Amino acid sequence: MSENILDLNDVTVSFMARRGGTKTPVHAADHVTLDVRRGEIFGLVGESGSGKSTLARLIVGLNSAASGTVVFDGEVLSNKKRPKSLRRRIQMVFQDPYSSLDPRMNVRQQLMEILKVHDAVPDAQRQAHCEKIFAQVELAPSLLDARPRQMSGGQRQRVAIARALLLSPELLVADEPVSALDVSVQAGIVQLFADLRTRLGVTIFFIAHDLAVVRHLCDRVAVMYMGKIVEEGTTSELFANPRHPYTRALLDSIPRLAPNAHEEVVAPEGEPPSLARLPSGCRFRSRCPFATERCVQEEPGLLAVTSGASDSPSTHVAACHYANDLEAYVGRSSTL
Amino acid sequence: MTTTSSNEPLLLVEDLCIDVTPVGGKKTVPAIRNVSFQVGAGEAVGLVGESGSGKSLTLRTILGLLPAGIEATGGRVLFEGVDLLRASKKTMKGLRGTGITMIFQEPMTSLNPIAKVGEQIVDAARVKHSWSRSDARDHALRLARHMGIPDPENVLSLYPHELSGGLRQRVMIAAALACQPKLVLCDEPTTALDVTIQAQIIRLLLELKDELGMSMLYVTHDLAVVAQLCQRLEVMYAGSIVESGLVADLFRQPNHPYTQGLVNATPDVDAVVDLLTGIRGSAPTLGHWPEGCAFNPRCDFASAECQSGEFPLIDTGEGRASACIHVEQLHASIKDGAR
Repeated sequence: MSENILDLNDVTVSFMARRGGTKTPVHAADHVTLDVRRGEIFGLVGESGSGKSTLARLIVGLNSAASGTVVFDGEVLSNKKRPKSLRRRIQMVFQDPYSSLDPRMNVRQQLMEILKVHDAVPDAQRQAHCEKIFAQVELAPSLLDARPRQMSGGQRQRVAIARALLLSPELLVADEPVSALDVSVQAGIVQLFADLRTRLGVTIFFIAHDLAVVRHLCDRVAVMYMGKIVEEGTTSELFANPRHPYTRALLDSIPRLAPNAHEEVVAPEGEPPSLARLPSGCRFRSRCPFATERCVQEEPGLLAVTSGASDSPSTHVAACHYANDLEAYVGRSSTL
Repeated sequence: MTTTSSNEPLLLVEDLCIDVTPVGGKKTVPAIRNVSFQVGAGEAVGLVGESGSGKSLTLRTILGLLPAGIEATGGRVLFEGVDLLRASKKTMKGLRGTGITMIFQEPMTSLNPIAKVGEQIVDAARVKHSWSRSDARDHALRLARHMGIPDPENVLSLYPHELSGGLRQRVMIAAALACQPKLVLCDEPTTALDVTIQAQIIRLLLELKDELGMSMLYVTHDLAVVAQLCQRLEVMYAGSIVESGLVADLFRQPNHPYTQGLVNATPDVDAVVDLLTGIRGSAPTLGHWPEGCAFNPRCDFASAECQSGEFPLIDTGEGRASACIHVEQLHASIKDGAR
């Protein structure tokens, strides 16, 4: 058993985009390298179009890599259709619990079908297994006989999580699992993911656009922009000392609950470019307040962030030429 | 403050009740119950609630945009003294765009997909002004520049599908403001946008509000967005307003357990707490509102009294009001928690 449950080595996922009659490839994920350790909650944040979902779908085998390798538990995965024995070890929770459940089946039927297909649990124990998983996601057993439309959004998402847990996966890929939910319900689902990791030891690859949720839940975080990882580190490193201008822009953009917050609304300039027409050099430079000529000429690689304070080797990296030169960022939290 | 306001608010909603008759002719159910609030000249008021609370329905009622099967059954909606619930079609048509306007959540579905966006701003501008098309086009160009649309000559000649979400929303705002309305109704205009673009649109709305002196009624589920944009806040739950007051006061010391629950459930990016607490259960759906205080099954302070009767908004002084009868217990628990 290797320490990393998942390694993405220099993976690129390409799609063909049609531009004026000719087809050109665009790279939704562009030479991405990252590792997920067994038992951790790894957060991936970014805006729409950054390639987060592309990576999620790659990990569960719904996308294939144009180059690079996906290594799961020490084994290189091919782009071919995966055997059931592998699929059951990596499961996914989708964003929208309204469209990811079958509306015509009750919950019990949906769960039983999976157990039957994978023949994971002996026939006689299947009902009991469903009830056990239901208890793990904190749903009343009576809801097993409900159809999705009879349930609230939060309950449906718990069913989707139960379905993903049914085959005792080692890796749970959750693609924006709380984005479609009301705030009052969202907190409960975030807490459930934290509890599941503690109780079951399952590794969670958690995708979100909400940095606040990631800060509460994840051990390590990677930030994606236009197909590239631009910053990665432990949650505490990254939030205490964000080094990529894009990460700073994301943090600045989040509306704060503080009263009179309207006196200082910070917003980064411009919009993300099109993947088919990326700027030369650093792909964030068109929106970056610190961009220089070097950023136009040369694409930055991931640079180790040197932190003066600690002696322990830093795992914090940022894809900015000036990651170690820019003034340490003073977040608004410390100025309030 | 340069805007002078008379005692009469620009918009006064009084005891508004709305009923919904579901398709298939089932029993009519209430969707809005005795909602009252006001928006003063130049003021920005937030209307916050979860899905199904009736916040969007309230906005649509003001503009007279209720779909078939949904009907206002009581109350008044006074805009500059005119009751919009009883106004003629002609009066409403005259008010839309020039008096009151609306910015919708999803600009992709609210812009006309087969018309160039420039034409759509021009059409909006010509509702009020008897301009020639070329004059209106100049106005549209000025507006587009004002909205921070880069390269406006080019952008205005494009179709909605050719624009990014952020640009589309800027176009929507330009069209909505083309006739300098006094009141802008916003229905979650930033919810579908990425966070960096959301910040840009919020900044734009703040600038426009100050500059044009317009009033704003802003519907959202996001308390933090309200904190940035609004002075006053109305919190809605199951078709009723449960708390109302200044934004700063409500966040500092909520007077309703639901507001308190929402504040606690909103994760803070600047700090980490051990346990993120949601509100147990979920918001009731239309036709299944609990008896008494609709929040009682999810409330930590609920007592036997909460399970029946009416819970109107009661003035608690300092411009605040709450529908909760256990405010003191709530305050005591907040103090305990802080200690």
